Amino acid sequence: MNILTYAHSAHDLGLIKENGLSEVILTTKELSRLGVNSYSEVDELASMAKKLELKVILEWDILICESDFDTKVQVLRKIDLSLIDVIRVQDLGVLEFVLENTDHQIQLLTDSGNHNLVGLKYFQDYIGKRLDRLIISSQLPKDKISEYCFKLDCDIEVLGLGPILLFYSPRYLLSPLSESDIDLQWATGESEESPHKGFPIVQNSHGTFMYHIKDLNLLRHYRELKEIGVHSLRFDYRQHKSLDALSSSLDFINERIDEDKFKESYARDYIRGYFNINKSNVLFKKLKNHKVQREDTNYIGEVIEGKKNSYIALKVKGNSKLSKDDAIYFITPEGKRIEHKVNRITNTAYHDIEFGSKDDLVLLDYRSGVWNKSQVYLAK
Amino acid sequence: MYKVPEVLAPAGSLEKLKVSVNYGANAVYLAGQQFGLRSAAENFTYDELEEGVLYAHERDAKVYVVLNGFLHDEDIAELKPFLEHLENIKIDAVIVSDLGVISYVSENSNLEIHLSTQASCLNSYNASFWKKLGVTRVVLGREVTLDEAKQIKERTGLEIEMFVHGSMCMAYSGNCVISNYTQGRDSNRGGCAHSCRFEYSIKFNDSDLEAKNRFFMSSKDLNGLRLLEDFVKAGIDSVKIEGRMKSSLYTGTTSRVYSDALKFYEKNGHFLSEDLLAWDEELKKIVHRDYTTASLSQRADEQSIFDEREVSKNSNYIVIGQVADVIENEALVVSVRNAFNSGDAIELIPFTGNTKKLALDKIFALSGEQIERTNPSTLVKIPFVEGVSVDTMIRMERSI
Repeated sequence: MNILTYAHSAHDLGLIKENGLSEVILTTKELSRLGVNSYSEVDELASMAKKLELKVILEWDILICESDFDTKVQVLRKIDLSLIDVIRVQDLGVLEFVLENTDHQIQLLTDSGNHNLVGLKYFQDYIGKRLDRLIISSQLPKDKISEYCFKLDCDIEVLGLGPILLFYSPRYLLSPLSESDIDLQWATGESEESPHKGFPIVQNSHGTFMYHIKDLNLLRHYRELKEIGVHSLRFDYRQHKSLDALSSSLDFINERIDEDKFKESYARDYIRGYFNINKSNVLFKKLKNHKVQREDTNYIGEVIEGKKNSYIALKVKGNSKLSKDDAIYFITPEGKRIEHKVNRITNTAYHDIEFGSKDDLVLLDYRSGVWNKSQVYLAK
Repeated sequence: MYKVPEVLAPAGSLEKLKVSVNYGANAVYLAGQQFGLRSAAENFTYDELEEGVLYAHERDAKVYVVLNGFLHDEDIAELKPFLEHLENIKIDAVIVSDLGVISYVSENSNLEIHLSTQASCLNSYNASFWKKLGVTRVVLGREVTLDEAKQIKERTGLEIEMFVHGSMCMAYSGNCVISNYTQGRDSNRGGCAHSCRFEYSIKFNDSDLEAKNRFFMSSKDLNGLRLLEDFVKAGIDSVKIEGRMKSSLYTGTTSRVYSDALKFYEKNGHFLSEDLLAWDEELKKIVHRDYTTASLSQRADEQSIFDEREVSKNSNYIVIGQVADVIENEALVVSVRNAFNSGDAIELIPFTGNTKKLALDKIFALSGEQIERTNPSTLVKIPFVEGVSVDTMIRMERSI
């Protein structure tokens, strides 16, 4: 499986080559979220990388508003694109621009969503022969990664080791706290309202980014990823002081060292994220009381008030008419079912009526245990 | 004279749909029980959707249904019957953010497709991509200025919808997954835990500086009332009010204010109404964080951060109830939401026109006996007021 990482210096390129990698991602301050190099430095690094026979990927992963677009295009034009093999993009506007204005191969970052085959397949077909690779979401579990590797005709890359981006804002959120105009500021954040402490936060010219307190680490699943057909595994050491952990990462996946030894060289804690399973929608049903949610079948309406020993006020909402002598039942907010025979219906002026229709507010005889928000159904 | 944009209001439930439409919205957006981004909202059953569409269409209002979650394969597998229902009941468009969903909707229905703000469409190249997929309108990211929106419209020919009012994500929409990794709730499928509103302490790496107890990721609320003329001149097709989780009072007030303001413009060709200050005041009477114009004129700066704890102190008004029935020439039956007393000064908020102030000298139980104090979740009668309809909202200034 292809392993790739980022380089910011000639030293990084040397380490990448030394460790047997064949690809490198280069970043510029202007086009990449965490870019550190100027475009002239990128030219130099790209030139060196070509001499080392590395495939050179230029990352352009920022999101761009309309009036900034031309400025970013000018930066791209300053880079010697003959030294670049592939351009890596996320903003679909940038994708369109690169497709229309260059001949380069494209790697598309689809990792902020795109959790279905239909969408990924559309990207594959849309970009066609110029698609070099799809970088898919870290929220996809292994069975989905496996399915996509099998069903798509393009190469797939996943993040194998590195920070998990949680939040990307164009606003400068650290400057007001530090009262400093310095472009690049790093901090850590913690909240009493969250059990997670120590979120890395960075502010730079593109805005503010917050990361998970632990990195994603799929190294122990290296063989599994290889077997299911993942083409490339990305290692991201940009929050480390150097690329020194690269060799131990490779030693670990090649079983030359055990995990304890690897941990000694890797400065941050890590998790597997959603690799085994993604159940991030199972808590949704607890977000509201489904017992006060109406069911469509035989629906009559909702109780507005249950006045003890006096009346039940009912707003007729459904399409069914409520008539005298009907058999109905209530589902209370606690989920209790209470049967009831409609002996009398009146309007709010206490005049007897034969039936209530949609939007009418009607009064029924009091029934113990029936409260407001109880849902009312016709018993069949 | 420029074309006046539609006012697009939230409808978190059937009740709120009626409020939005009654109070002047030209269109509403809502969700079914699945596929949206507000799992905690009541949302609509199939029958409620049908009833909501009928209600809105009878009053010349459009209905857009959000399918704007980032759906997984198993979600998409459940879409087909829902799309068939939406076509059958003749909704006006779906609002979608996920490429897979747009592709699926295009292939499996004839529904008109609007691109959700969740897709963070920020530039005309991006908008052109979606246009090729059959999208007819884009809801631009809230980072886009009105000048940029104008350019995007001119360069793509697409209809443009922009937020004019309400809560705002601090992150690029669709680019925040804090809830996913800290609460196990997918923020892009309806489980956002609003972690950006939490209090944080920040330690800077290169100094001893520590900022304690700050709300550094929380955004002020958008209020574009004073920039409506710029919306009109930019050719924006739809001004959108955020808030499917918000109250009927919020929905009704915002629908009414923006609708009244745009109607005034349509008639007079300007916004210099004597009511301008009153509209401002109305928007201050609903619960809100401090207001900002965010990026509408220029990129949002640090003044757009709401560095305060979430409280509802920013409104001195509460909704005390809604007119549930009218007994002609005799009484208004009020469904009480917050308690009020005999002697209180209340305000009835008609669907159009000025608020009717009323000093309550008498309150009656439904059964007829006079009472001094009401209780929430009860029905009471107050004196009849000419021209007040069922569903009219009633508010009152908080007693301090």
